[in-house]
Amino acid sequence: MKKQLSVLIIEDHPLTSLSYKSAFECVSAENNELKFNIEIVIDCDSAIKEIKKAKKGKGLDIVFLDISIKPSNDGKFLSGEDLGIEIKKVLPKTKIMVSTTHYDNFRIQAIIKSVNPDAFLVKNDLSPSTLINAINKVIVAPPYYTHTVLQSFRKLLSSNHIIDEIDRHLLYELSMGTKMKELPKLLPMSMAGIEKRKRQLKGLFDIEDKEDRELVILAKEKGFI
Amino acid sequence: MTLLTGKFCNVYITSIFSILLCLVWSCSNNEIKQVQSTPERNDSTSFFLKKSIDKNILLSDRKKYLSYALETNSSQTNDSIKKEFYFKIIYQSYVFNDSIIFFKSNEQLNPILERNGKTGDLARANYYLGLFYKKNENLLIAYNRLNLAQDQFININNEFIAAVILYNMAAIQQDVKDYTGSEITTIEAIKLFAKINETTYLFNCYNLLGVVYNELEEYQKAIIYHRKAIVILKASSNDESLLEASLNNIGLVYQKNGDYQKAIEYFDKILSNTELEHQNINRFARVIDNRAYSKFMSGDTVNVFKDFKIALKIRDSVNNVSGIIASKRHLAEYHSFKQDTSTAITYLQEASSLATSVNNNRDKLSTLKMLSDLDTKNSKRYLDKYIALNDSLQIQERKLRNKFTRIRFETDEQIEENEKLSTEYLNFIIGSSFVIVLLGLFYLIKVQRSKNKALLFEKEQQKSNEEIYKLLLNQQSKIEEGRLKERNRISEELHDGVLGKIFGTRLSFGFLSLKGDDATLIKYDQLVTELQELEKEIRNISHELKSEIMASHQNFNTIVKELVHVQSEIGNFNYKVSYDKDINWNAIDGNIKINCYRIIQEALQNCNKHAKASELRIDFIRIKNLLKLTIKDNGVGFSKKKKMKGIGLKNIKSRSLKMNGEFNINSSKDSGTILTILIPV
Repeated sequence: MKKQLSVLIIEDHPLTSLSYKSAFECVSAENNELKFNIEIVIDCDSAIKEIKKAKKGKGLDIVFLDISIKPSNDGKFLSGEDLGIEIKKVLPKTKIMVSTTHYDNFRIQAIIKSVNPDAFLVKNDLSPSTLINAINKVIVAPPYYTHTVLQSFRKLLSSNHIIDEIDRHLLYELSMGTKMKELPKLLPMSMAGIEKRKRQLKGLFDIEDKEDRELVILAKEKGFI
Repeated sequence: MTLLTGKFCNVYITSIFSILLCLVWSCSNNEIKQVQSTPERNDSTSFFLKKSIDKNILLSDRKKYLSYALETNSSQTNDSIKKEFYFKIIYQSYVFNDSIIFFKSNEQLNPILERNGKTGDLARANYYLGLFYKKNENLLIAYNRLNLAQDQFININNEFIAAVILYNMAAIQQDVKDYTGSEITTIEAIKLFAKINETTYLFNCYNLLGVVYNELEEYQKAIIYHRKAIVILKASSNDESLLEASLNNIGLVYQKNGDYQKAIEYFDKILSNTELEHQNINRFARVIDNRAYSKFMSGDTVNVFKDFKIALKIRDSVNNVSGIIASKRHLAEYHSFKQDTSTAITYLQEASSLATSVNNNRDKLSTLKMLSDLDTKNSKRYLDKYIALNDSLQIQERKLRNKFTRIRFETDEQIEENEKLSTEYLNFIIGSSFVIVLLGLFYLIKVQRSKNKALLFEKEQQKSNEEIYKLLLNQQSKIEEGRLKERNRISEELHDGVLGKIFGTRLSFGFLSLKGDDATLIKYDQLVTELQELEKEIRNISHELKSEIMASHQNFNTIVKELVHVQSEIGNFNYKVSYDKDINWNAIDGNIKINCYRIIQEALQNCNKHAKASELRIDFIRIKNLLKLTIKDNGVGFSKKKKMKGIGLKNIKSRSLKMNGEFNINSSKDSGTILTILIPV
C-alpha cells in the first residue's frame, strides 16, 4: 500500500525547489510504497498560509525549509528559522529539513537549538545522492546531518571551553564586524557588561591583551562561531 | 640825630661784611682750594694774593702785591683757576677800595664769564660790583647790581647770600630814605634768614628794621624790633659789642621820642662797661655824646658841656669826620642855648665845611638849617642854600626811590614771566609725559592684544587641527564603512543569490537523467563536481569578504599607513611602518593616537623638506607600559647646534610633553635623523 506523504518546500530559488522536488520524486521512484504530495512556496507569507491550511487539514509530514527567504509582510517571520520555530509549535509532528547556505558554527548551532530540525543540510554539502539519502533517512530514522554540520558538532564537543549563549552571540556579532556601540542593542547587556564579557572571553582563550580579531579567529577555530 | 643813626648803621654793616664775605667764599668753594693746592703756574698769583691779604704787611705794599697778582693771573690759562683768582682779586680790591684794580680785574673776568660763566659766577660778579658801587655811594648802580645778584643767587638756591644781598639792598633803601621800601626788603631778608636759621644776620635785620621804624617815627615798633634783635643776640652769641650797639640804638629811639630819661638809662647801661673806651673808642665817644645830648635836651646841663668836649676830642683824635660834625652840631646847640650865638655859629660853620669836604650832604643840610636859624644876618642866604640843597637831595632821593621801585618791579615782572614760562614748561612736560604714558599704554595694550590674538589664533589652529584629524578619522571610517557596506552587499549577493542559484542549477543537473556514452556521463559528473567546487569557492570569497570586515577595525594603522604613503609619493622615498603585535590600539587613548599621528606628520614634513631621505622607517614598539615611537630616516641630518630651531621639532617636543612623554632627537651631519618618542600608556 502506498504511503501518501505531504511535503512543503519553502525555497525562493525555483531551480533549487525544482531540484528538491526531483529528489522527492526520485525517492518515490525508488520506493514504490512512498508517494509525495509536494507543495512549493517561495516566501514566508505563502508558507504561513500553507501551514495554516495544513493545520486545519490533515497536517504536514515533511517541510523542506530554506533559511534565507523573503520575510513575511507583517514582519513576524524574518527567516526560515522563525518559520521552523512556528512549524514546531503548530505542527509538532512535522519533520523539518533545514537547508541553508550558512555554514558557520554559530548559526548552525543556533538553528539546531531553536528549530531542532530532523535534517540539517548545508547546501554546499548536497549532491543529488546525499539529498536522496537525507530524505530517506528523515522518513525512516531522523535525524540526518550533512558533513559540515557534523564537523561543527565535533569541534564544539571537543572544546574544553564553557561559554554560554550570550558569549557566543557576542563573538558572532564581533565576527560580523558589528560596531561596539551597537552591541548593547543586540545583546541584553550594557556596554560595560559587554566589555567585561569580552575581557573574560579573552582571558579564557589566553589572549588578554590582544585584539578582538584574534578572539574571533580563535573562537571560529574552536567552533563557537 | 638822624644822621648819626644812619652813619652808625653804615659803618656797622660794612664791618660785618668783610667778615662774612671771607666766610662765605671759604666754605662754598672747596673746589678752588683743591686747585690751589696743586703746584702750578698759579703759584705766583697765589703768593701775591696771600701777601696782599696779610694784614701784617703795610697797606701800600699789600695794594702793590694785589696789582702783581692781577698781572700774573692774566697770563694764567686755566679758565676756572683764573676765574677764581679774579674773584679773589676783585674782593681784595673791594676791601682796599682800589677802583683801578677792581675794574681792571672785572674787565678781564668778563670774557671768561661770557665763555663759560655759570649763574653762580655771574651772581658773584654782580654781588661784588654792587658792594663796590655801594661803598662808593653810587647807590643806583649798586642797587641794580645787587638786585641782579640776588635774583641769580635765588636761582641757584643760594638763599643765604641772596638774603645777605637783600639786607644790603634794604640798607641802601634806608640810605635814600626809602624807609617803607627798606622795611619790605628787610622783612623779605628776615624770612630767608629765618628759614636757614641764620641768627647773626637776623640780628642785623631786626636792628635795621628798628632803625627804619625809628626813621618812620613808629617808636613803639622800633623799640620792639630792637628788643627782638637783642633777644636773638643773647640766644646765639651774646656779643657785648653788638649788644651795646643795640642798646645805643634803643637809646636813640627814646631820645628821638623825647623820653630822655629812658634814653639816658640806656646810654648809662652802655657806659657801665668801663672797658669800652679801650675796646671801641668811636662808640665810647658816640655814647658819651648821645648821653650828653639827651641830658641837655632834658634840661640837665650838668657836665653836658664837658661830655660834648670829651666826645669831640676823642673824635678829633681818631679823625671820625661824621662824629666830629655831630659833636660840633651838638656843641653849637649847647652854645645857642647858652645865648653864645657866635660860638655856636663858628661850630656850625666848621661842621658845614667839614660836611662839604667829605661830601656829606645830609650833615651839610642839618648844619645849614641850624645856621639859618642862628645866624640872623645871613639867615636868608643859609635858608636859600638849605632849600636848594634840600630840594636837590629830595629830588635825587625820590628819583633813586623811583628807580629802585622800577628795578624791583622789573625783576618781579621778570620773575613772574619766568614763573609763567616755567608753569607753561611744567604744563608742557606734564602734558607730554601724559601723552607719552598714554601712547605707551596704548602700545602695550596693542601688543598685549596682538599677543592674545596670536595665542587665540594658535589655540584655534590647534583646535582646527584636531578637528581636521577627527574629520580625517571620520572620513576614513566613512570610506571604510562604505567599503564595508559594499563588501557586505557583494558578499551577501554572492552568498544568497549567486550561490543559491548555482546550487539550484547543480542540483537540477544532478537530477537530469541524461543518456549517453560512459565518457560523456563521467564528464557530466566531473562538471557537476566542478560546480560544487565553484560553490565552495564563491562561499569562500563571500566569507573572506566578510572577514575583511574585521580586519578593517584598525583605523589608526590604516590612517598612518595612508599618511606615510601619500608623503612617500611626494618625497619619493621607500617606507616601512611596523607595529608591535603587543600593542592594543583599542585600549590606547585617542589623544595619544592623535598626537602620534601629528608627530609622524611633522616628522614626515621635515623629512621631505630637509632630509632628502630615500628610506624611512616608522616603528611602534611596546616596552612594558611605554609606547615607543621611532622615526628614522637616512637623510642629510643636521648638526646639533641648529637643534630645536625649527617650529616642527618644537611642535613634536611640545606634543610629546603634552602626553607626559619624552622626546629625543639623534642626528648629525650626513647620518640621518632618529626621532624617539616614549609615551606612557
